[in-house]
Amino acid sequence: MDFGRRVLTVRRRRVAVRLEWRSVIVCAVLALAAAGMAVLALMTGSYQLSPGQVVSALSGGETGLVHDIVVEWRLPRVTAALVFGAALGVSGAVFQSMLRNPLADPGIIGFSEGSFTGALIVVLVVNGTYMQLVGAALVGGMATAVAVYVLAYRRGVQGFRLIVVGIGVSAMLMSLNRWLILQADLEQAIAAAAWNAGSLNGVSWDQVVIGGACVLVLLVLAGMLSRPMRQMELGDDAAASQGVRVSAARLALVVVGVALTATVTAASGPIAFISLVAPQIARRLARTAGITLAPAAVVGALLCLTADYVAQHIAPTPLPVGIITVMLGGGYLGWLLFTEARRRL
Amino acid sequence: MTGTMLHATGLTHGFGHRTVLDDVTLDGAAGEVVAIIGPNGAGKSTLLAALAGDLRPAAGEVRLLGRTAGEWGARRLAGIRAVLTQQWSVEFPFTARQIVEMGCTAWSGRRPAGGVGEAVAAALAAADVAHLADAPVTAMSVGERARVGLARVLAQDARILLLDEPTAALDIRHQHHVLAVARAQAATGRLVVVVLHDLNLAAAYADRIALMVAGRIEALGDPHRVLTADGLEAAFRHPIAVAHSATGVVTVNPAARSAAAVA
Repeated sequence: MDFGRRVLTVRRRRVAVRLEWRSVIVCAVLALAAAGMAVLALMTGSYQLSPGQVVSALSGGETGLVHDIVVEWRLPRVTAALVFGAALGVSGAVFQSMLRNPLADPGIIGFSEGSFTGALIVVLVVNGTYMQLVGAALVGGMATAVAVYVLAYRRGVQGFRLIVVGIGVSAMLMSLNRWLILQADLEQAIAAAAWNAGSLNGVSWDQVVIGGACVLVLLVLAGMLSRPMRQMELGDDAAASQGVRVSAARLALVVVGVALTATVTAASGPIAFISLVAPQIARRLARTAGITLAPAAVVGALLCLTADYVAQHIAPTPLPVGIITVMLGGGYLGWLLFTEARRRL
Repeated sequence: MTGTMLHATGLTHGFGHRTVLDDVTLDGAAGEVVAIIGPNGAGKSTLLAALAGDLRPAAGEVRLLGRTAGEWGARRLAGIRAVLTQQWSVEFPFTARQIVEMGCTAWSGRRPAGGVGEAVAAALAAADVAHLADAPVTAMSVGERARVGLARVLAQDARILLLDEPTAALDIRHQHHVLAVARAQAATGRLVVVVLHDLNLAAAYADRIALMVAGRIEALGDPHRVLTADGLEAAFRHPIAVAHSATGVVTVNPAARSAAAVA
C-alpha cells in the first residue's frame, strides 16, 4: 500500500514550499554532525581543550588564553570551512542542475584554470603581493567564465555547448599555465602552486566576515532561483512551456554559481572537488530526484570542515585542505563511476 | 465560445539559408482540434514552436488570446498555453507525480480549485499513467514517458494546448486514447493544435487539418477537403489512396512500395 511521499508543506503567501521529510531529516543530522565536528576542531591543536571549555568559550564563559584560542584563533578557521564549504556545495549544485550533468562544477566554465592563470601572471610578471594575487585570480577566473559564456552564446546558451566550450578553453589555459610555471623560478612556482592547492591557513575574522556576508547574499539568491532551476531539470522546452525564461534563468544561475566559487577562491584559494562531490553525496543521502540546494550546502560544509581537520591534525604533515578534498573527492568519484557502471550492466 | 484563441499571420522563419516557415497564416478557435500534417522537414515543429511563442519568427506575428507572447510575459503565458514538445529527455529520476506537479504549479501563480494533489491525480488518470505515479521517469519506456509528458501538459490547465507528435511512440490503444483526450479538452472550450504523422488519426479526430509542405500550408480545412489522393501524393511523393466511408470518415491508404523501388 502506498500513502505517497510524505511532504511537509509550508504555506508562505500563495506559494507552497514543499520540503520532503527525508531531506529535512538528512539536513538536520548533517548539521548536527557538522556542529560536532566543529567542536572537535575547536578542541584540537597544540593546546588541547575539553568539549566543556570549548562550549563555555563559545558562550562567553571563558577569558584569557582559552577564549583567545577558541574564539580568536580557531573559530575563524572553523567558520570559514563551514561557510565556504556550503558555498562550494551550492555552487556545484547549481552547475550540475543547470548543465544536467553530475560531473559538472564551476571548473566547467573555466573558472579554476582562469583564476590560476591570473595568479601565475601576478607571481611571474609583477611579482606582486598576496592581495594582488587574489585580485588577479578573481579577474582571471571571471574573465574566463565570461569568455566561455560568450563563446557558447548563440541565440541563448545551451548547457551542452557550454560544457564543450568550457572544456576547450580550460584545456588551452591549462597548457598556458604549465608553460608559465616552466618559465618561473622555483620559489615563484612553489608560491603559485601552494596558492592553487587552496588552504584555510591564516584565515582571519576579517576575511570570514566579508566572505561570509557575500556567501549569505549569494545563497539567498540561489534559493530564489531554485524553482526555475528545478523546472529546467525537465529540459529547456518543458521549462519554457511552464513559464520559465530559460536564458535569463541560466545566466542568473551561472552568475550566482561563479560568484560563490569566486568568493571562496578570494579567501582561501581554490578548494577543489567539494563543488563536484557535495551535491552528489547530498542527492544520494536525501534520495531526491533532482539536485537540491540545502542538502548540498550542509554536505559541503561538513566535508570542507572534515577535510580541513584531516589536513591539519591527522595527516603526517599539515597539508592544504585542497589536497585532502581532492583525495576524498577523487576516491568518491571513482566509487561513483564504478557503481553507476555496475548498475548499467 | 467560438472566439478565435490563436491567430498567426505571415509567419516566416529560416535556419541558415533554409526557409522553414514561408508566410504561414493559421487561426484556431475555442473548441477546435487542429491537426498539422506533412512530410518530414516541412516545418511542422517550427510552426508549433512559433505558435507557442517559444520561437520568435523572422517575420509575422502570433497572438494568443489577442496578445503576443511578449505582451503576456513568460509567466502569464504559461497559464495561457501548454506545450508538449517532441522529445523531452529527463536526466534526473523524477517520479511521474513530481513532474506533473511541476506542470501544475506552473508559473501563473494560480492554484487549482481542488488543490494541487487532486489536479495532479486527475491529470495522471487522464493520460492513463496513474499506475506509474511513483515510478521514476528514467525507468519508463518512451511511450510511457510521452504520456507522463501529456499529463504534465494537462495539469498546466492552459486554454491552448500545443502537442507535437504526442502519439509517435504509442501503441494503437494509447494513440486513440491521447487523441480522445485532445477531443475532450476541446469539448471544454480549449483549443488543441496537434502535429500528427498518422493521417488516419488526423482524419478521425481533427476538426480541421493543415497540410504543410516545404514551409507552406498547402491545404487547410476539414479532413474531406484536405485529405485528397492528389494532394497527399504530391505532398508526400508517395502513392496514396483515400476512401470515404458511409459514416463520413476519411481513411487514407498509402501503397506499399516494392523492394525494387529502393534498390
